[in-house]
Amino acid sequence: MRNRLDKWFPYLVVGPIFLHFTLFYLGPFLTNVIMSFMDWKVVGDSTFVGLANWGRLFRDPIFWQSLKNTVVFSLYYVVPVIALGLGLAMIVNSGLRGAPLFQAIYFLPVVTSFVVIAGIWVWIFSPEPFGLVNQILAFFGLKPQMFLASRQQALGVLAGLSIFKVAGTAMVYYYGGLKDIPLELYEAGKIDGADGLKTFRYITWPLLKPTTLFVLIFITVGSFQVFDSIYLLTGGGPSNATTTIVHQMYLHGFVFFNLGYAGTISIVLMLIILVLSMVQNVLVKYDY
Amino acid sequence: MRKTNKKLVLMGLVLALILGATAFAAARELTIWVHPFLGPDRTDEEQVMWDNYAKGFTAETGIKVDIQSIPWANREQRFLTAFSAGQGPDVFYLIPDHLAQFADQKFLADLNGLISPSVLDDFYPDVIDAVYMGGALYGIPILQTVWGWYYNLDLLKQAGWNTNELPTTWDELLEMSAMVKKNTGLYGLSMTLANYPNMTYFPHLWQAGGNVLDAKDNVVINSPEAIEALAFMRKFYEEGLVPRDSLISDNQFGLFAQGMIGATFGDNLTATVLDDEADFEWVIGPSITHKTSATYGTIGSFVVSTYSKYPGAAAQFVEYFIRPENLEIFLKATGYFAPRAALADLWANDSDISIMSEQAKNVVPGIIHPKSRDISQLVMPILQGVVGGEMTPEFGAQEMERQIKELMGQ
Repeated sequence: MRNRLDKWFPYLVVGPIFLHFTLFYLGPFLTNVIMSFMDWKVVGDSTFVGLANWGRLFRDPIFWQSLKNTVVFSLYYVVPVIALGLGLAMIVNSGLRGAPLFQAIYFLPVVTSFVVIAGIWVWIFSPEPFGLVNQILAFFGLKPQMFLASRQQALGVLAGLSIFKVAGTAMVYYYGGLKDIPLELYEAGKIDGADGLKTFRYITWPLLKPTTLFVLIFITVGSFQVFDSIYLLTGGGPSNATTTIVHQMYLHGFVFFNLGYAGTISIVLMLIILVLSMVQNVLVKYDY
Repeated sequence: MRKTNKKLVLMGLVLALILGATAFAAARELTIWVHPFLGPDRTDEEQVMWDNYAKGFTAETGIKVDIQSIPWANREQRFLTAFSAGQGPDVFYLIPDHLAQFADQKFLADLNGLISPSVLDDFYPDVIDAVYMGGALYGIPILQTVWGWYYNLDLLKQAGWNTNELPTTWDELLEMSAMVKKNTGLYGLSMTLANYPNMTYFPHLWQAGGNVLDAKDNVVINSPEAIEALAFMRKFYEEGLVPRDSLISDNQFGLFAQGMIGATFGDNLTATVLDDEADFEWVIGPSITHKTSATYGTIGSFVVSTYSKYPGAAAQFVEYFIRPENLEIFLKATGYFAPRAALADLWANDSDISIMSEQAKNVVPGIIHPKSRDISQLVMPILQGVVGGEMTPEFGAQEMERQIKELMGQ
């Protein structure tokens, strides 16, 4: 009896997880792959269209614009989040008076609703002369800027919003990483005469490498999925300057009902994220 | 052992009876999806109104009705999600461009044969045209809206404009805006280019005598009239006569309500909101004419889902709702215009709304085509590019034509 239980116990434990994986990950993924070769209809018969959706993807200038915008957004976003998250974590870890309050303040955007944060951002970066940043610029005798209404500035302002929202999360990860570094190493460095900069360069930064790799992949994947700030603040404008892959996916799937084409775009996104994750795996293995 | 079996059989029978009864009860219930027509401040009042419709219909037919209010935001996704699961409401509300798209996706039941033909005799022909596609009747109109210009008379007076003669032409609209800008430093007009072109570009296009598609669905958007309309809109942005966020804004009502804009384009419900929010004198202006008079307005309809298990009962509810005495209650509460002649005098005693009712004859309900939403999404970024000075009106019109033709396979 006990042997029989031992035999079935692993299946019992893994079964629900496998079922969940099949229903909510594998099934939708395979359906999505099939959809990308179909003119998919919610009602009625879907028809097989071969590579038509893929051909359209390569000819669609708005898709390529969205891909470029997503990559540019990622470049604007990833390095500042890492720098800010690490800097904030080091301040919190320094043990200065008021550090916990500082930590709480910087974590506040993480737990605040995105819609609220976006509303605040619109006020700060309003292109009108009464916008907060434009008022500051005016104080210094500078001309008001268009910000979200400018093709050149809009992506940067949106990246700023995401940095503001996510920096607190990166801070928490880095804070955990800093706490894991043995104090003896710093003491040994001090004995060897290392100053603050050398301590950071030769002890803190190398030992934070796994944390940095994790944060890097976590926020890069997040940056490729950016949607909410675009949906809320620019609608992809002006003139497609802020439309992203997920925004295009949303428009084709839920506004135009071109589900096959939306599925094709989602596969491209999945492939990009897959490659990024594989690079991370290689980097992690190389690191150890 | 035998006793246990008997118990099991008995329990099974009871369960089957309960399930059967539930199924029967469900068979007598319709689900209707409506939206917060009265706005977020009047949800209680609206709930009472819908409850009364449900009670009245049930008392007359014995069919139960569950009327659910669904938020306006993201309603397409809600419909799509429900229909993907083979569920969703029996009856719901759509405007013409959605109606054409949903009909094309086979979400909507053909009401020919479900609705008594004589019911439609009293509806305005233009209104009924918007719900027919290829001979199939996909909806029954329940309301009409009209969009027009609302003017801040205090600001116009401050700018030195004669408020007894509000703009009626493009030139006057431009002149008035320039005067507001020059004499007050504020904006002449609102311009929300993140909104559908029905509320921005198309009214100017129609006023110039142009259109997006002709009667045979050929793309005619690259025309001298279209270029003229694009150049006209661009001038406002170039000269700073509209707010600086116009390229990405979908709503500048707040700026207008704060007294920072001379005129805003809004539907007849804007009057209700201004009554509550504006602390300045305002008025609805006359129609704007260039080569012709035209404005946007929509026709809201009740439609029956192809997923409805009881399309006959669903159509019966729609027929009940559009009876003049029932429809009047809804229209009076919401402030919309009637789609049928029996209620033509509904707003005769309300001066604000009756001004708009005169403009109703110039209403164009947008593009009636299954791809109308797609066309709008293609036009929006190009329009932003032209108005923002990134491309010329000529190139913009060419791009719109090229992209729409590609979309429609022409």
